[in-house]
Amino acid sequence: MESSQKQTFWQTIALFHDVGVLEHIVVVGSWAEYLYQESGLIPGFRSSFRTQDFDVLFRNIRLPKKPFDLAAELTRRGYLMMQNAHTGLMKFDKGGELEVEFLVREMGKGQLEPYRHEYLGVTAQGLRYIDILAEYSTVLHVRGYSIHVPRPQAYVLHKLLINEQRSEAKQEKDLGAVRDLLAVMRDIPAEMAAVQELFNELPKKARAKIKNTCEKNSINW
Amino acid sequence: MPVIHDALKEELERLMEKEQAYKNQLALLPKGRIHHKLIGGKKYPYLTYREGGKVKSRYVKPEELEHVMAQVEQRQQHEKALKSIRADLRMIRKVVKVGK
Repeated sequence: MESSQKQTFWQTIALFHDVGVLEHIVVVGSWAEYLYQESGLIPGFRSSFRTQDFDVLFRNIRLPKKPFDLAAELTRRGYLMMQNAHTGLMKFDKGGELEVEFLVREMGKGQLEPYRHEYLGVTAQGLRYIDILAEYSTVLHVRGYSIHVPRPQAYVLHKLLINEQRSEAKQEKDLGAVRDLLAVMRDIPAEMAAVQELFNELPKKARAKIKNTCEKNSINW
Repeated sequence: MPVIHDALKEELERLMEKEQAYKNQLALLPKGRIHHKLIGGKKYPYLTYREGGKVKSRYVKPEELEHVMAQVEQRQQHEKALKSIRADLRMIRKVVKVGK
């Protein structure tokens, strides 16, 4: 039987689909790994660890343009809205087992406060380097839904790129995910060639950060 | 081990924050269940709840019924969530204590 957490995940996907948001978001974080497994995108890959965080990246914070109170709809469907009193950042918890947080790429100089989605009434946390996940994304067709996820190559490189700025516990978790993915991708030459190709497209500074993380943690591809 | 300990501490803080958020929200939602009383052959909705060990009930106006029912349902969902959060909290507190 499917776990209650997975059921809640799929209920959330259904909700995003029903209200016309699904096509405008990318599922990032550990739930993307679950979708890689469910879709069979990387043959033989099994995601080992899933957190309560359901990270949802807006591909473009100005889309969809149709005004809709997503925060109210989530609340109506039993999600508890938790809003940081200082920053205004919203998170939506369902049943104590899944926490939906919206993300967006940090723009320009960046800002301390979260970004407000003009049409959906929710706030999103701005993160540097996250645009790589939206830019290099693919659509998976799972359980009748078309869901955007980062291409595994982008997922791996992004985890390596941001590793230094994560807490020690998260660094380890991320590196575990990278190793699991690379272990399976190594058997597929096209996948590894795509990792290298994407790496070559990244700015010099980003490539240096990735190299540094790989060297420090003995990760080769 | 320190990495696992830090991860658990991080999770503990997160759960405590979540527990507080649920408690705050529950304080705003009505306790009890909707029951219908048969009076003079007609059904009237009442919100029945416990207060100070006594069972009390309050008439719910027809125009408020849908809203109150939704709130009651939300309360039940949130109570279930709080129970699950508290179970996780108990478990993590034990592990963090043992690991010290």
